[in-house]
Amino acid sequence: MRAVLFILMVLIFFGCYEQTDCLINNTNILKIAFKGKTLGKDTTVTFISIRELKTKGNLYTNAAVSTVQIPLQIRDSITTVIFDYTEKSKLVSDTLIVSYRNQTRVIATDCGAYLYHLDLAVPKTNFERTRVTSSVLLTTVTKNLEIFL
Amino acid sequence: MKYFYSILLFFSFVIPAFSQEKEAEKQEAPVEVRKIDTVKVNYTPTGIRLGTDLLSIILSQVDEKFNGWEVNADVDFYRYYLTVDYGYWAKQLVIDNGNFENSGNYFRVGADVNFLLKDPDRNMVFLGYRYGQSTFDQSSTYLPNFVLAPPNGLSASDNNVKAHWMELTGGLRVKIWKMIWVGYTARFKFAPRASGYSEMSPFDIPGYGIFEKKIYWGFNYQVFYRIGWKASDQKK
Repeated sequence: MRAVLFILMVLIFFGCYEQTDCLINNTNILKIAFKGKTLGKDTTVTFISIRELKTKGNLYTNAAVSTVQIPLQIRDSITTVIFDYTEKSKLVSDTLIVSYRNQTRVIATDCGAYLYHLDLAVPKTNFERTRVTSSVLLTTVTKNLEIFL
Repeated sequence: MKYFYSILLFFSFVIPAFSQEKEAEKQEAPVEVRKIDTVKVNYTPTGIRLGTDLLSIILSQVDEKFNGWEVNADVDFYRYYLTVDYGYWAKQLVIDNGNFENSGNYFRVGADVNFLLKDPDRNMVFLGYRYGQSTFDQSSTYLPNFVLAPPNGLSASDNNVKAHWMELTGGLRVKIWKMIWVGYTARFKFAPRASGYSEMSPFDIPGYGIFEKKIYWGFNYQVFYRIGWKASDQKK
């Protein structure tokens, strides 16, 4: 009987001992990929500048890129990005407004609290077509948004 | 595997109680054994038992991170007991990159089945079920892990968050003196759901515990005062 009780106590200990993993995968980086308007394949675009409305300075300058990473305003629920580039020898300036919901998650007392951006959407843009591919910003996600040019 | 441990833990509270029941039956001479009418069972309640959780009171005094209390009541219907719990729970926790606070009230309602029918002192060895519901406020201030994060940190809060869950319970009630019973209730809590939050995902739910843990354990050490309707109950 004592042996049974001892085994039970050991099992109780291990049953209660359940440490939470600090799996932290939040980010405020919006990952955008550019796609060809007709075939929908990855395309490289040369931007004169890419800037975020509230941030001083350009995020990208004279860059030929097929993907860009834009830091979102973490205190706001929208971020506005302006893309300057040339199309058919004309200077084009397109605006992209993305909206999102901010949610804090306390993982565990030992891990801390982290801000997650959820429900990503494009309420307003000059681009002809965009598509949200992943509405949650995570470090493990390679692409959140596609812009068709 | 963790479910196995949890279920085993639940029954480890209850099985010893049954063992005690059997041993008690062997040892005790039939001093005042009530004869059960097996043909007709009387479901009329004979009294109400009012109690409180001593662990919450003690923890509120010794742990500066916790403040809470809980009151309990049960009414007998033959071997079945209708039970209601009502409580308050507030926590102030230091987390790795800031702090977390919550506070709120909760209630549980359910039924227990008493397996000690022949006991003249109305002692109980029981198994039961509860539905729990909580309404609470929560907030957190912390330093985010982003590059170029604001130096004074971020804060998030939600008021009137709702949560509900279910419990399997087991435990004991033992009469110690006249109208006083003491006992414990082990709670196997599961299936938590929450709604009404936007800025913060629930972390700690008053009455339940850590929301992310879909199975959670609770334990109350309670003292009860019984008010009987019958004159014979009041004299004991």
